Amino acid sequence: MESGRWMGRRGAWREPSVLPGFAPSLAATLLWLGLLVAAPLAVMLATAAGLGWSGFWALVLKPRVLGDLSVSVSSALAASAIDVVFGLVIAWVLARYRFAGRRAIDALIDLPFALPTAVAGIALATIYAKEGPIGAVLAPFGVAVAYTRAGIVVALMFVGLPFIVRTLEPVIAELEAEQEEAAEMLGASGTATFLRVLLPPLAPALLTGFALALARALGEYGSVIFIAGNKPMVSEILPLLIVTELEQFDVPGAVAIATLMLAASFLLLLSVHGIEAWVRRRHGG
Amino acid sequence: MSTRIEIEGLHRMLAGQMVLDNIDLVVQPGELAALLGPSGSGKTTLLRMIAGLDRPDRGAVRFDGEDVLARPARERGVGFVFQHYALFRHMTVARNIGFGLAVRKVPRGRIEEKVSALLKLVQLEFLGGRYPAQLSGGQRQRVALARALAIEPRVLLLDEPFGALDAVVRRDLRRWLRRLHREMHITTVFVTHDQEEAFELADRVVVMNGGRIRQSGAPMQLYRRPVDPFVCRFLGEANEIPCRIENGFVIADAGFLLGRAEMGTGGGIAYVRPHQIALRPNEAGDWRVAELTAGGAMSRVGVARDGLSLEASLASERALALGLQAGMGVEVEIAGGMVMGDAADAPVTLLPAPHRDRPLLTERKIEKDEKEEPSFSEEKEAKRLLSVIRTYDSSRDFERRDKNR
Amino acid sequence: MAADAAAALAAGPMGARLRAPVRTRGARRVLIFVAFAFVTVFLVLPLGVIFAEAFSLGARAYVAALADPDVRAALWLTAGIALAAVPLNTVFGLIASWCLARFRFRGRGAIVTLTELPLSISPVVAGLLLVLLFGRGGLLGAFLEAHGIHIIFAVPGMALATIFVTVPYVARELIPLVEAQGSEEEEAAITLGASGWQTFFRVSLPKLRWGLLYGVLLCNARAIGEFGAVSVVSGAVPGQTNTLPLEIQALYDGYRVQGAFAAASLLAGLAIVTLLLKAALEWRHRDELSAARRARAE
Repeated sequence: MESGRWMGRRGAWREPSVLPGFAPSLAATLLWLGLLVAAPLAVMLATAAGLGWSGFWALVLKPRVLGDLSVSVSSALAASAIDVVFGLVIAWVLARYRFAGRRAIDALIDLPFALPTAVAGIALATIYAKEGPIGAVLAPFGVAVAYTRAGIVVALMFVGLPFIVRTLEPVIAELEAEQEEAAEMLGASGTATFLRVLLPPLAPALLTGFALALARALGEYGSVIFIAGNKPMVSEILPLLIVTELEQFDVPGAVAIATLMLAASFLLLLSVHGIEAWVRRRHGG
Repeated sequence: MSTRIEIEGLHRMLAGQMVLDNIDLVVQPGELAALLGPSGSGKTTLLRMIAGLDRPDRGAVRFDGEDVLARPARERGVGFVFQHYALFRHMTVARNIGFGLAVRKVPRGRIEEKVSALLKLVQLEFLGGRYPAQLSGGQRQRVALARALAIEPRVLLLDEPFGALDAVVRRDLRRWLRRLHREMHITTVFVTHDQEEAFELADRVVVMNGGRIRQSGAPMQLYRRPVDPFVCRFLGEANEIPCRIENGFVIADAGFLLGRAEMGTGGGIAYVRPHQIALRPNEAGDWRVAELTAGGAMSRVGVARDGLSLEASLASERALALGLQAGMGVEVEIAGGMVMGDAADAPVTLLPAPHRDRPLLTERKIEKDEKEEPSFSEEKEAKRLLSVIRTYDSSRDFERRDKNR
Repeated sequence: MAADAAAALAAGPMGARLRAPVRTRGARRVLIFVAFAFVTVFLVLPLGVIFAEAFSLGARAYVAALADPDVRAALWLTAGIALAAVPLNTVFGLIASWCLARFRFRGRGAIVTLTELPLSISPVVAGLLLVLLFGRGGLLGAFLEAHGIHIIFAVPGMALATIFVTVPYVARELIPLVEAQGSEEEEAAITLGASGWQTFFRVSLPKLRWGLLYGVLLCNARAIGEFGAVSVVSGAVPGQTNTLPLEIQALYDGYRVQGAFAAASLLAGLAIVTLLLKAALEWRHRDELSAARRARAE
């Protein structure tokens, strides 16, 4: 804490604080993140760059990659969209109502965070297999979930749900119940109250939750591979293709796909930050 | 034991804004000083700089002549009471108070002794085992104070010490703190935005605004002799009457005599506090009671005459005794105030105009407690003034005559 | 009671107001039912199936499956890797929260984003990153091979992969919590004469303990359950480089379904304990933790 450091601080890059330990803690943080996160990412991006523009696209624009990409994206979108609907209901119920079993639901919502993905994967595969408790119910109707694209959606719904519930819950809790009452007093119907009064303030949180669930769903591996049929271009997800290519020592192919996925999750991350910044600007705080 | 705080040329820029601008201040040993100002005036920054929680860009802070800027906060021996107390929430009251001793490796027995003495001092003998969350706001405040006192600080600094308390607790604590200071005699600086608080507690009030010290002095001196309109307004309500000074008289632009002034000539604004306006029912008076608000001990009376309305305040008992009612005629007597503006470089004291019946009655009272006022022969002066007043004040159409002159 | 009063006045235009709660009550019932149904089908059922399958051949088969040497080796490996990853990332989380939440400086936002980045990277990609660095033909591959150091397809690589994916867990719990708590108590400690370390250990750390425990709990759950990243860098040799989740996959793919579920039941049990501890923390220290959650939501 030498006093000289404080003099002529006009162009300072940090606000001063009386608390010690800024420099060492920053150094340790940067070292850990740099070695573990930044450096490996940089190596991968360098490898991808080494492929060259045309080389990269040649690896990405293969039918199997595109087919798996469409499987991954469409399943992730579908799963996240369904999660948004049910996640909204659950978050609403948790935030607004007090009822027996509420704490159980509250605790269970985080199960997908706590349960290893492989465990979830084999459990879901068993449930939706033809002989499984749900699969057996659906089979007479000719509906197969396990080993199809629907199975992928179910697995992705499982992993994505808590993101949406946990994003929405605090926002719903902060909505004033008076707003609904005011809308009712003004003669709005239930639907109108929901669409015009409740939904708009929840929209940013819904979008954020959707983006988070989508990002997780796009990269998900463990819970999907057991329930998906893993048939190329039909029920194979992109992360599995990376593993397959790695197993065949096709590192450039894996790097190209991984770069594509990284770009996608980065865009999603940016959009989440964008939404948050927009909400802050609009509502202050 | 008491320490003298000297602050010299303190500057602080933050994000391109001048937070503190050339602050010079001396707090005498054992003095209880208040930094008073609106939010953003720099008062808390100044307090934190004395404590070492913030650093100036340049300037000096000295305790008994020793430069303490080079010393980190933990070695300054400053007792700091935070606005929201900053009690350690995971420690009992006793451990909170003993913290400063524990980190100095004082033997446990000594700490216990001292903590129980301090608990007694702040009247919380039986609460040593409680956690901060189990205390009321006033109790937390006292724990924070005891914790700050435990390290036997050279100076005691308090940031908005009563800000988070309700009115009754605040009043009690204020008196208690005043007594405590009288007993311990530690040089104390506290920050407040409440002028009443500053006036009740402090030996000296330092009014700050925009990162500068606007005025510093004894509470009464500030109240009676504010150096600029900001200080005047900040320390309490004032009627602001456009006026000018002419030949020793202060004449409202609306066209009547406000009082006298010992110096200055030209335009300005007279600042007259509501309680400096005396009222007397008189149906023939120039003023009418426009509004009457009885509220507790003091009543507020709005009075008006053509082109001007003023607000007066007086004890509710007095208002009752006078039988004041909306619409009735009154005479208005301005007992004091300040004139600021082009008329003079420094604010000029507004002296009461002698009244026909009770010449200079109010003024005599003022003279007693203000020594810096030049003395003069009351009677002779009164006679001279009375003759002038008759010519001015008895006429209602002063304005026309003024133009003709 | 307010409703009674309203009912008394309901003769006229107040009738419209009175119908509203009835409608809301109906909606309430439907919504609660939907929530229960969804949670039961999607969350409770999988948990139930795990234990049902694990005991499908009886208790003796269950015990036998767990006594399998490969399963026990996987259990130890998993515990060992978690024991490396969790403490390291706990220390990192504490340091990062001190740096990123107590000081305001340029570039802070970028570092916070970097901290959370592993959350949005596919675990498979995380594994790939390590292969690129340490694998044969990777950046350091030749060097490692020359010195006989095995990272990829070996335990060190699996530990690194686990550390990578668990980097954010403690830090992202602590950063908003520290921000919400502010630094006034630390400043108070400093004015009372405490040194930096004294301030940290006597004031900051106890203040954070519940949030820290919460973060450690989540970090531990992820470390133990990590599958994708570890599977990419694992040699997949049963008894040697299989963690419990990998062993489950090996058993399941080898049609030893009951054995897979027996192993899975251990992890599911751990998940349930995690959820219970988490719920207990949330209920007992709701104020403290929800302040952080609010801060994060903003």
